[in-house]
Amino acid sequence: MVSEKSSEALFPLLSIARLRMGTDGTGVTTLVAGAGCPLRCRWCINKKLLSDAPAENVSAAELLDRVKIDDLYFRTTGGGITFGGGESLLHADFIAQFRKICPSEWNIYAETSLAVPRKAVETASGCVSFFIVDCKDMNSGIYSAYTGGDAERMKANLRYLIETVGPQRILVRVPRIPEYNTEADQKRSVSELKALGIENTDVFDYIIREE
Amino acid sequence: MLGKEKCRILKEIRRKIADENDIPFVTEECTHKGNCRGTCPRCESELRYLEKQLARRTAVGKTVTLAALCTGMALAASGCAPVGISHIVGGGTELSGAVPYTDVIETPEPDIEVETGEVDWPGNEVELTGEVAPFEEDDPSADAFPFNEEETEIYLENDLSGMVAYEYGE
Ligand code: SF4
Repeated sequence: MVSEKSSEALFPLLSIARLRMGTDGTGVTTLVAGAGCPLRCRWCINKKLLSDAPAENVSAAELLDRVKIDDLYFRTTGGGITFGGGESLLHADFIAQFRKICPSEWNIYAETSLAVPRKAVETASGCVSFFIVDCKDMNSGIYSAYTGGDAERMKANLRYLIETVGPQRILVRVPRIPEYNTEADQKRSVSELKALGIENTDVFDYIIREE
Repeated sequence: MLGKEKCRILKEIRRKIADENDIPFVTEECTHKGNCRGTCPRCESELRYLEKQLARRTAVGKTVTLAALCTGMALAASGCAPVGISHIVGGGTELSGAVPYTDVIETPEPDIEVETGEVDWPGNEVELTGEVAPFEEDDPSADAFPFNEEETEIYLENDLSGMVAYEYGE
């Protein structure tokens, strides 16, 4: 059993949420959240979970077994599985394996910051139906202050995605981040995204609740 | 989206699947008071029943039609950050409106348990028979996908997008 599993990618499963509609994909979707993220966003809602929570490692077949219960809903609504987290593309190899064994009619969505190595984006471009990208802010200074990461990596990956899968398969979310950016910054981000060829943007506000 | 609204939409999808495939289907309005998760053992058994009926049709060479019931459902997103007001612009539908802080994944426990306990259905106590008998849990075909990928023809039609209430969060 051990040798069988060692040849396949495992997914650090944090949670599964069934029967979602219009929240993270088209049609009826199941959100599969995995552990791990390269960014350290100030307002991350999963911070504690990403670092402390024990995640259960599952194989693609094991995950399929858990989510196939909604096969009919997925097929009839254009829905499917949304990989989130954390950073879903850290598990691009796993998603590719899952894509191979799940029904071809299912859509695979990935919520991502694109703060990942190019290799992961390449792998994902071949198996993800639609990308939901949270760009944070396109301004490098704001981006690094808020996430601790490098905006240039995200932008380079976004350009690569636009070239390989096309803008129709990408939604970029542009948040208003309290204490970090303004509406004017959001507008500048949207303009920059449009200049890159992005057609679908989601402009929204992070709402911070005190504990 | 409230569980009751979700339940209504899912029930409509099940009814549509049955209609499209000439599957006898009896469902009753839920009279459960208060909110729910959008599904319950009764709803799940209806879904399993449909799977079983579709598998039977496939096995005898009948065409199975799975219409695209909700192709217009919005592509919005929740993600890993605190969600607030959204305005999706572009190929998707433009959405707006204040929503509560939603979609926090707070627990390593899967959020998928079927709600248990008493659901007040009219006729709940009456055992269904014949073609509309609920799915049997010990049926060995229960875990099998109901469709043979090679044999199943799937038609996408009937955009009923208007029936979906757009909303963020759960
Ligand atoms: S990208 Fe998301 S999961 Fe990662 S640190 Fe930022 S908010 Fe948290």
